[in-house]
Order: sequence, then C-alpha cells, then structure tokens
Amino acid sequence: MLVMVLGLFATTRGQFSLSRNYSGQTACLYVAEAAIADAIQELRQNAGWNAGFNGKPMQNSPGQYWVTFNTTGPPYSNLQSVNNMGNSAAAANYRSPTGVPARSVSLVVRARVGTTERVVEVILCRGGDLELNHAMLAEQGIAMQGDVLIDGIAGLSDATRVNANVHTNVSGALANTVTWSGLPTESALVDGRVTSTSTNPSAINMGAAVLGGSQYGVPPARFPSVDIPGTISSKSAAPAPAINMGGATLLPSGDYYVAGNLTVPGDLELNGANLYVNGDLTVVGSISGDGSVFVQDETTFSGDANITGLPDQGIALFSEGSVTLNGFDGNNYLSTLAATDPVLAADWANAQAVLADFDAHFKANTIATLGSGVDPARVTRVEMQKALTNFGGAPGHLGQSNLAGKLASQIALKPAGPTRDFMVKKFTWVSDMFKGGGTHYGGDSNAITQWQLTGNPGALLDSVADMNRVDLWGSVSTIYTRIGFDRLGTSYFQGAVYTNGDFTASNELVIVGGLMVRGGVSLNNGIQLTYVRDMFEPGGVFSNGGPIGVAAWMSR
Amino acid sequence: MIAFGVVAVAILAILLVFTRGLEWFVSSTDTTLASATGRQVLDEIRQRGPERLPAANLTFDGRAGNPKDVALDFPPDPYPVANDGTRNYTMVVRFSDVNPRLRSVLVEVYWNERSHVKLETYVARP
Repeated sequence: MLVMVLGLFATTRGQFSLSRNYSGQTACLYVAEAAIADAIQELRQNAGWNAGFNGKPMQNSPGQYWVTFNTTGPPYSNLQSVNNMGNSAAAANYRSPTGVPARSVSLVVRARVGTTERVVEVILCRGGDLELNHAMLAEQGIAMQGDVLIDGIAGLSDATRVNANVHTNVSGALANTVTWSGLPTESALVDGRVTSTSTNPSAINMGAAVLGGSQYGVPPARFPSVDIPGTISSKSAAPAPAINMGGATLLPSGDYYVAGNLTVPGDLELNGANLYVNGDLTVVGSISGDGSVFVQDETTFSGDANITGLPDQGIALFSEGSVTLNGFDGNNYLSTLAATDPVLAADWANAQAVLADFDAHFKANTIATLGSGVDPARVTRVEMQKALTNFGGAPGHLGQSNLAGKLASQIALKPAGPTRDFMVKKFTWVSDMFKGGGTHYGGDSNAITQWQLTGNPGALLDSVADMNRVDLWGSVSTIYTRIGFDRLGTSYFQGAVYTNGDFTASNELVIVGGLMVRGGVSLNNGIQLTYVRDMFEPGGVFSNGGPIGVAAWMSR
Repeated sequence: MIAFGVVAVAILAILLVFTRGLEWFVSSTDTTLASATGRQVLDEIRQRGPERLPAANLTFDGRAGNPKDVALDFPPDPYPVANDGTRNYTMVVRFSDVNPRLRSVLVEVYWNERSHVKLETYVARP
C-alpha cells in the first residue's frame, strides 16, 4: 500500500510540475511577444536601434525580457540579435554568414517568468506584417461598375495564376456590401473568392462571374495597422524634394519631406526614394518606379502610359486620406478623334485587330515556339511586330505596317492636352514593345539589359523569345498580356495602395499589385486589378519605407 | 499498543501523502485549463489588431459581473466565464498604457478566490 501511495504521489507531482511548466512557458511566450512589440516600436523610431533590453520588467506581471545585439561582429552567440536594417546585403548571425536577410533584423528575445525561461527568435523587416492575401481588402463597401477584371499572378516575373480574392470587413447585417453594375455590353470577372463579414444573405450582389465563389458572414480579415501620421512626422528633418515644374520629377534614393500640400505638375518617378507629404499630394501625371509615398491627407494621381514588369519595382502608397487614381479614358478620346479623322480611325481599328490576334497568338504558344527560328509561330509573331512598329516599312500581319508608330505621330498633331500626351506616350510605348532586338537595339541582349536597367521593355518580347530566356518569360507575359488590345487607352499603376480613407479608380486602369482600404472602394469604367502575391512578401513592395513588422518566426 | 501506534502513524502519513497528491492533481488540471483559457482570449485580442481594441484604459472584471462591450464584442469569448463541465474559470481583462506607443493587455483567469494564472503582453497603439 505504501508503494502504491508513493507511486501516486510521484505521478501527481510530475503532472503538477508539467502543468506549472506549461503555464510558465505560456506566460513567457506572451512576455516575449511583448518584447517584440517593444523592439518594433524602438526600430520604428530609429531603424538603427541596437541598445536592446536588459531584464526589462513587464508592467503588470512578474515577467522580464532581454534583447542583446551583437555590435562587434563574430563570434555570434545564439542569444544575440543582429540589426541589418541599413544594409542591402544579407548579414551574418549565429545561424550562418547570410542568416540575416537584407534590410531586416534578426531579433532574439529571452523571456523569464518566475523560474521559467523561453527564447524566441524572429526576423523583422519593413512590411513584415503587411501580408496581403487578397487582391482587395476593404473595411467598408466595395462598389464596381463597368468592365472589371480581378485576377492574380505569383509574381511580376512569374505569371503563374494565384487566387485574387476580394473581401470587405463590413460588419452587422448590411446588404450590398460588394456590388457590381454594368451595361449589357459590360462584364466583370473575379478570379478568386468574394467574401463579406456582413451576415446579410444579400451582402454580395455581384451579378458577375466569381470563379472562386462568394460567401457572406465570414470572420473579419485582420487589417494591419500603419501609423501614417507618426511616420510622416518622424521624417520632418528630411530635405524637400526638387520638383520639376516642366516635366517629370525623378527622386533618387533617400528620404524627402514636404511640410504642406504638394502638387507635382508632371509624372513622379521614384528610384528607391521615400516621400513624406504632410498634407495633400496631387500628381498631375503618374507615380512610378520603386519607393514609398506617405501622405497625411488626400492623394490624387493618374495612371502611367506603360508598365515595366520589373520584379523588384513598385510603389508603396500609404495615404491617411482618400486616394483617387484616374485613368485617361483614352478609348473615348480615340473614338472622338476617329469620328472626324478616317485615316486615324482605320489605323486604330487595324491596330486593335492586330493586337487582338497577337493576344490570342501569344496565349496559344510558348517561348519555345515563338522563339524558334523555324517555327511558323515565330514567323507569325514577327509579322505582327512588323504590323505594329517600324521595320523599314515592310508590311506584316493583315498587310499593315508600323500602326502604333503612325498612331503616335497622328495623335501628336492633335490639340494639346493631358489625354493627347498620354496617348502619344502609350502608342510610342506599344511601338517600342514590338521592336526587334537585333533591328532596333543592335542585339537582343542589349534590349534585355536596357529593360533591366531602365524598365523600358523595348523589344523585350522579341529578345527574350529569340534568346530563349525562360527566366524572363514571366515578365514578358505580365507586360504583353496587359496591353489591353480592346482598350488601347488603358493606363497603369504598379504597386500597393494602403489608405485609411476611401479608394476610387476610374477610367481604363490596370493596377498591378493590391489594395488595402480602410474606407470604401469604388472601381469605375474599365478597371483591371492584378494581384501580385510576391509583392507582399518580405523584400517586396514595402521593403523601402513600409512599417517594420514580423516577417518570420524562427524555430528554437 | 506500540504496534497500534506505529500502524496509526503510518496510515496517517499515507493519508497525508494521498491527500497532497490529490491536491496537486486538481491544481495541475486547473492551472492547465486556466492557462489554455487565458491563451484563447489573449490570442483573439492579438489577432484582432490594435484598431479593434478599446481605446481607453479599462478593466473588464468577470468576477464582478462586468459586461462585454457589445459594440466591439470585447473582451472576446469565452469572457466572462469558461466552464469545463465541473468548474468555472472567471476572467479579468485589463488594459493600461505602457508608453505612448504601447499598451499592456493583462488576462487573469481565476478558478477560486485565490488561485489564478496571469498572462500579460503588449500591443502597439493604432
């Protein structure tokens, strides 16, 4: 009997220790997460922060936490953090010589509650918790009107299809939280799911093709928080940008601050720059390139005439106020011109016909057939190029030649205006895209290098196909399938929009990226939204100026 | 008589050991269930993000019958009380400022007047 009782005693004591340990480990985990939140706040104030924490006590419970940075180089301890936020190359930590990715922090936290300790390790980077699993995520209603296409790709250089989901967090039992309306000649297609948190069975009223199905009453999606006013005020010591009042404004790498409203009279191109505007931002032209823009109030800008398709490029736009993205309604403009100019009307119709044939031909073939010198598919492809751009006047597909170049020249003679200028740029871009690498750039590799350096995809299709550069075919596909043969007035925005207000996009726009909107969304008249999954992963579009967050938890 | 005394002491000792073991058994079960309950509430709070938390420094005391904030649906279920079929686990959720950028969230889960577990973490201010 004594043995039995002692056995019971030992067993229950062991179980008691296990449960105490579980409780202590759980408490330590939350203390460690508190330390991570504290470290993120320090890093948001000063990206070079490496002071760490030395037994910092929790406010209302007995826990403590430690963070110690290695500031002297090797050797690295497995309890040391490494701040690599300021470097564009990977750095060493105790794991490996490249254990800390570029522009990130390897944070090791030691947490203690009572006698229990726990070590937690994370990777922090800009945009780390801005993961976007939706093409469009909104807190309020989503209203779409006219032709709408929402699709998704894995990356700008990887055209693999991914779900392009649409969700609104509208709570309660509101009807019509996601709607589409259009004429009988117009259509909408969502290549993903459409969901709403509203419990009303009529919450989703699309009347359009939703390939992934729709569902109401789903839980609200987590909406990451970005302190836009705080971020802007923390950059008030940065220099003001030099705005070009007579053309495009190019901002090189660095931070720029504007104390009030800012109007940019032309295009705004960022080259690794971060622009902070403590007021309204109005860009008469487009915002393009690679960088971030923080705006305290309203943001208004226009689509670009071209899309680079470069995988490491994109704009991260954070706007505390509403965002308005305008296209140029170029199709309407061309229709007006064509009504009084039969030559232009014929060239426009022919250009649409050739581009429609090209779109079908491109999608029906592969890089192998389009690039093989003896394949009929390549011959047809080159004939189409001749029809669209200048190959010395030689006629090509449908007996046409240099249609895009001729349209650019004809439109340039029309009365001045922003839509005219946009359409000239657009047709010049289309003409460049269909040039030949050897004929126009002195070699296919020259054309590819130019695209990689400048984002100008001149002769990219011809060069990539002829050189059988399979690694670049995804980018070619991204660019060439978004010309919009039936909407040649389409303009583009490549990047992500995060706004605490509403978002409105109007008039023939292709948005390549994603939308995170705390207010409502309104998409009007010919909007295509292509969700790019890779853009929202660490090192993506938020890597320049996005808020710092947890990108990955490392096993310990 | 001596033998009787020895046997009595032995039985008493065995009963004491047995009782203590049973206390540990019950306590370990309560500690585990209370930790899991607190974890459920705290994870839900963290998952919601700072925007969906009360702006003010408040205490929701389930022991005193403090109701949820219905508009925010806060604190999340199973506040104020979880029950495993045999016992109530009553929660207290407290918010307080750590500094202008961080807030503390403390979840206490009681299974009797004195016995409870405490879980505390920090969340960023929106």
